[in-house]
Amino acid sequence: MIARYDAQQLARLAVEAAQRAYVPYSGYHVGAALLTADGTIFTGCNIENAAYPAIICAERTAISKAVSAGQRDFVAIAVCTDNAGTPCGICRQVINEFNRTLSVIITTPEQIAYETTLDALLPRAFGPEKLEHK
Amino acid sequence: MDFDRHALAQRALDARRNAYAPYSDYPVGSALLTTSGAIYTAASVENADYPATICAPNGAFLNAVSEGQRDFVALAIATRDGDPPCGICRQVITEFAPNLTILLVNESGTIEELPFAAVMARPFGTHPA
Repeated sequence: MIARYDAQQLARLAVEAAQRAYVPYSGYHVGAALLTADGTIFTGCNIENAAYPAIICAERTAISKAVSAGQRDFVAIAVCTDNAGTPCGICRQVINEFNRTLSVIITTPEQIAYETTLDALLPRAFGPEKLEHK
Repeated sequence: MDFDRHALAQRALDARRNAYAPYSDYPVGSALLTTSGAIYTAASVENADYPATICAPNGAFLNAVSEGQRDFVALAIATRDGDPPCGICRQVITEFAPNLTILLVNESGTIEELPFAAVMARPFGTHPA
């Protein structure tokens, strides 16, 4: 699905979300803003934990909020970090479950760094179709 | 570093037989070759608590790193159809072996070889912007 979206607005919401990050261990603030097909935007931040595996990234926080609210049709996600970092492999895997060609906006608090897509970041993804043999 | 593709693939196929996959019925085996020539294998190990599942490639890295190994040459992954690794495993590979050679092996033993970079663009971790 090709949909128009306001990359600047999404990026701005991701920047704001990053300010809410709970990152006492890494100090690495991440914010995400996820746009759904009906125009709703869900935001998320990374939430760290003394037990590192319990940490959830900003992207998955936003997706969890959206899916929990009944949304599964996603158009774009903006991700804000100080150094224009990309989504980690876990988040790429989770995004792929719902939209393998999702538009991804990489931004810093100052400006959008670039726009890409999930399939460009995660070529030949392992997806739900691999388990359809059951 | 040259290595025996078929031997590594066979170790992954052998490891796949030990997979514990009662929920997905999707058994995976993996074999990880270090620069010292050692091979560490693992199978996918599922759990009723799905998030507690550990993939085969991830398991092979856990085995190797726990034994003091951090220099890797190649990773063979055996599945029914020669499927690529999931995003979690790609993140683990990014940490230790961004230049790894990947062998995708199907249950007939057919091997597809590709560089890790072919399945992980702009990785998070090793290449800060």
